Amino acid sequence: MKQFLGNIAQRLAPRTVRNLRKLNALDPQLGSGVPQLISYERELRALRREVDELRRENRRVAELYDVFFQWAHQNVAPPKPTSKVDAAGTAQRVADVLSKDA
Amino acid sequence: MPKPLRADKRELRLAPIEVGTPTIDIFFDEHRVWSTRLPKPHPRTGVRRIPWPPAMVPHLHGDSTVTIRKSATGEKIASQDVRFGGPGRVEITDPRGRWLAIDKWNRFGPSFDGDSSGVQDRMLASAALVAEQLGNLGYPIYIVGGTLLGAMRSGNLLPHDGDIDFAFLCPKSDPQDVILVSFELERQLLSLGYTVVRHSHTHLEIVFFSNDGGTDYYIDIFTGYYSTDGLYNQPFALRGKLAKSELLPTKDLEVGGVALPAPAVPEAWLEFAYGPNWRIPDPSFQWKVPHATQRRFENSYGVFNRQRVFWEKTWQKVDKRTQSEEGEFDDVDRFLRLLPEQAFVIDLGCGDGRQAERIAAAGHHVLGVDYSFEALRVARQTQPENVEYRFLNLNDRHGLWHFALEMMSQGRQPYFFARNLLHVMPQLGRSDLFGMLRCLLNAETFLYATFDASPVPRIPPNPLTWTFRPALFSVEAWRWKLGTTVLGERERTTPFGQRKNLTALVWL
Repeated sequence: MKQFLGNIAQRLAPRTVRNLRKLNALDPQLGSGVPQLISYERELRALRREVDELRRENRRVAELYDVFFQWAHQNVAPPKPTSKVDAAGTAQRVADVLSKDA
Repeated sequence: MPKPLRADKRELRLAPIEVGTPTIDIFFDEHRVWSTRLPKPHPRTGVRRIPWPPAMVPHLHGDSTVTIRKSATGEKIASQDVRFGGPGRVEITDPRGRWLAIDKWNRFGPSFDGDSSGVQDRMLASAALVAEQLGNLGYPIYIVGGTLLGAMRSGNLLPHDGDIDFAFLCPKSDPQDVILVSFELERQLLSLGYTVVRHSHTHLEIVFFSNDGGTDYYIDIFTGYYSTDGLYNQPFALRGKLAKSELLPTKDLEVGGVALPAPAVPEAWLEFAYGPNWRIPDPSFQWKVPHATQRRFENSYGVFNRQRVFWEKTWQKVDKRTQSEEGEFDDVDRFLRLLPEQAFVIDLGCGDGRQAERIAAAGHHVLGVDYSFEALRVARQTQPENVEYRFLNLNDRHGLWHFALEMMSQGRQPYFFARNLLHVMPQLGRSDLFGMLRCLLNAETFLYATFDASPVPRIPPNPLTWTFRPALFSVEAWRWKLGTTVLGERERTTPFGQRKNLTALVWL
């Protein structure tokens, strides 16, 4: 009987039947897909906002870094040498000791 | 016989003729004032209707011979005597008599084809010197943009251009490091004696002045760099694939008889920036920056030049300070009653300096700051001894911090005055200003401000139509733990309608 009615409907309204068959074949998950898509979209927007914020923070850090070190460069006296021994001399002395060991 | 073109104050109508060109130049009495893309013809009548850009409408008074030419070849398409109403000829000039043209930002500015003062020669000479100096300092610098386009097309500057564009390849990839390189470059340019304006942390502009203190011309220096994804970035607009070997080593190209360094493969840079049709002239070209690129650049490097051009153009029209209007000094006089003797006052957004000089006349020392060179030019014409004027961009946080440190290191304790400033500032700039006030105010000092607090129809490019609502005022100040007190309000007549103008204090 079902097949019979189906054949009649196919003859009387072929386009409607075709559409009904397509709808029947659709993924049952589709119903929950739309809210999921909206949720992804919201998440993407939130992430974009966070990236923008991080970029602005990065900019602020660079600005502060530059202002601070420029100020320090102009206002803080250079560090006094703690020893009269120069680093090149030290390197030479160590190299001499090592070469004797060898 | 029907006229080939008709024009009124609203639009230009081009008769149905076969044009065969996408871009046209429009001349008034043989002065190019605008270049635009042709719209599609009306399907029935074949007429093309071209509305004038808003900036042009106020200039359309008098008669003119309007001529349309093909941008690519200069061939005449149509010409017609037009009456816009009013006496005389249409003149679209600046106070110095230079013909102006609509630029790529849809604003009027001087262009090379409207100039007879030799600005091109001066600019090219300066460009060659800047290139040499930066090359000696180790910056791989090369011409880009319209300058490179002109060099490749004709060996000259483009007639509709108005400046020189350089870029240099920064060896860093991380935006923070790129910013630090730009700061260092700025310091080096300043130590060479240049006046430098920072548009963003990747865009510097060297400004050159005429004898009267107005802007003569400028040279842009953009920062180019390769990000970690291997793409070439050249804010504010360009990001994509461009091989390093196509940029460096630079090679010299002749521009107006002057050799300037250019990318190793100029054609590659031009195709990267303008697409494969870069050889076909299109003065109406505008950058189309993808949204993601714009977000990347604006957030990483900032935009500090907002509305500066508006104020430069506004003050450019002022030759000398105009007569003061009645009631104009009411705010200053009220402010003066709050000051101790011989106070130090900073007038924020001082404009032509009339308020600053009124304060100074009461025996105080005043520092007037503004980010319009044209306003400072007018202000300096009558500068008394106890008034200083200087350039300060309140939208540039880095510059503001340097300024604050300078004030602190000098041990000066300033009072602040800001007449009708806060509502014409963008919110980010205002936040940075409040941040600076947080550093510089003490228990005795304050900011005395007036601002428009009731809205009028907002025209985004015109800050005079902007509003700063009282509720936002206290919220923004409180973010920096600053207190606010509204002292009073009054009605103010503006060209855009009646507005409620608030007088308020900001205190620590």
